[in-house]
Amino acid sequence: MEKANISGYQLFVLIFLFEMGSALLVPLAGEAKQAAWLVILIAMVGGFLLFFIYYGLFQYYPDQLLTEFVRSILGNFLGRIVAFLYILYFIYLAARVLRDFGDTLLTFAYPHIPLFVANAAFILVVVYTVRKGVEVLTRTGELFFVLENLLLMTFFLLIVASGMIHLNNLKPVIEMSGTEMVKMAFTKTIFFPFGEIISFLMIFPYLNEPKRLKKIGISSIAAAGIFLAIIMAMNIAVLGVDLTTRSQYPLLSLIQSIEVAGFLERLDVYFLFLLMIGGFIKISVFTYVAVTGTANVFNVKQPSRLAYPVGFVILLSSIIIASNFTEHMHEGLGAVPIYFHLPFQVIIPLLLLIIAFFKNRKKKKGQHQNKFQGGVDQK
Amino acid sequence: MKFFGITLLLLIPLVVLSLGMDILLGFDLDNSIKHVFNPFLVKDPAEFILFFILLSFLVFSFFYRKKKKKNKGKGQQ
Repeated sequence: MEKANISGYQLFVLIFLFEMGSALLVPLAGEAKQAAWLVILIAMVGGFLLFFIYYGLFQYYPDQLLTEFVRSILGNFLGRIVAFLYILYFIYLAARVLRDFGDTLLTFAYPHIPLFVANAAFILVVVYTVRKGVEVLTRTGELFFVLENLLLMTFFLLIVASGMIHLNNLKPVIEMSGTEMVKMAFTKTIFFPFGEIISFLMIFPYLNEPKRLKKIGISSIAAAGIFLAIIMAMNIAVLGVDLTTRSQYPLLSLIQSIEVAGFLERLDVYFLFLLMIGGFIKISVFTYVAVTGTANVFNVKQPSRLAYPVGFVILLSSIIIASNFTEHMHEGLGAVPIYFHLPFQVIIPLLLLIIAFFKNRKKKKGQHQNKFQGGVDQK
Repeated sequence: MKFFGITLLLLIPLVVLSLGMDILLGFDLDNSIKHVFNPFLVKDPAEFILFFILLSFLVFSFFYRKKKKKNKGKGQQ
């Protein structure tokens, strides 16, 4: 664990940008059609529940990283294996996000550049940031947060000014039944992007005001969830359900359709900025977490030296992961939530919390008894 | 060498994971192995050059250590 301190605001910014990262790109909860924004809000509530699980773990071990307290809870051998699996999970997620962004860049902006080159350029920047440590990452996040908010604000203004919002596209709002919405929110949308916050269990110990963590976590998840819901509602209100669900990148279609006063158009660069900011922060967080975790599990004294090897592994995995974009998306929507997200985001943390609860209860009881006996002896 | 070992230890399970994903999607083992190595068989020359440059950086990073400490040690002696 490096010697670093991050403030509450910096953590808020980092979580917000992380959540917005790749969720802005895809039609999030698109299957829910007009109710997509409601499903996102329900999933956000689920995200709160997941955050409380992680927060519970953090409260038991406030000074330890995820890879450390797993060993405290499960013992050295089993704990090391679970910690290693978590590292693989974070690297796999980083590779998936990198592939997402590489493919998006190729389809939308650079059709003649090979995927490997685009991904390599991206990961080299990430490796450089990760080498510099978590403080640099959060400060970069602070800068980007301002830029992203300015972009989003002007984007909303332009959309409203161009008069493209047709609220009738959002009707009927509750076409799906409530149970269907909850089912969709808790089986898909909750894992991506809200559950991915588990990676922050490796960053929470750096927070200089741990008592405020609950407020910071909830407010950042709420802010990201509300923004995502508004953007999805806007996508549907402007493009309609059919185009939004069929489009690979509905936000891009939305931005391309902006036309104000006959001259303010072709604002694709907005999309590119949002893409770069979100992607950079998300991949950097996953890579940083993987590097710190690897250094912790393998007792490496200089974690920064691991940044390049881990970055290279992420780069190779992003290429190997799928032979084409369709396969990549198919895996991401079908297999990953069940076989990866569910165990690593819900089942293992829940088990860890239960074990930590019983372990610490015993300890507390022991301490209480010792105090009592000590008191008797003194008398 | 520790870094080399760690890199391999991370890379091999991820390749196996990718193979497993392909098998889950319904491909047989032969095809999924082809899928894993296909991106490296269809590279452009430019991609190959970049790949080898990055690979040489990686190999270099395994053996590279900061020399400042050694100098300091010598100076103290």
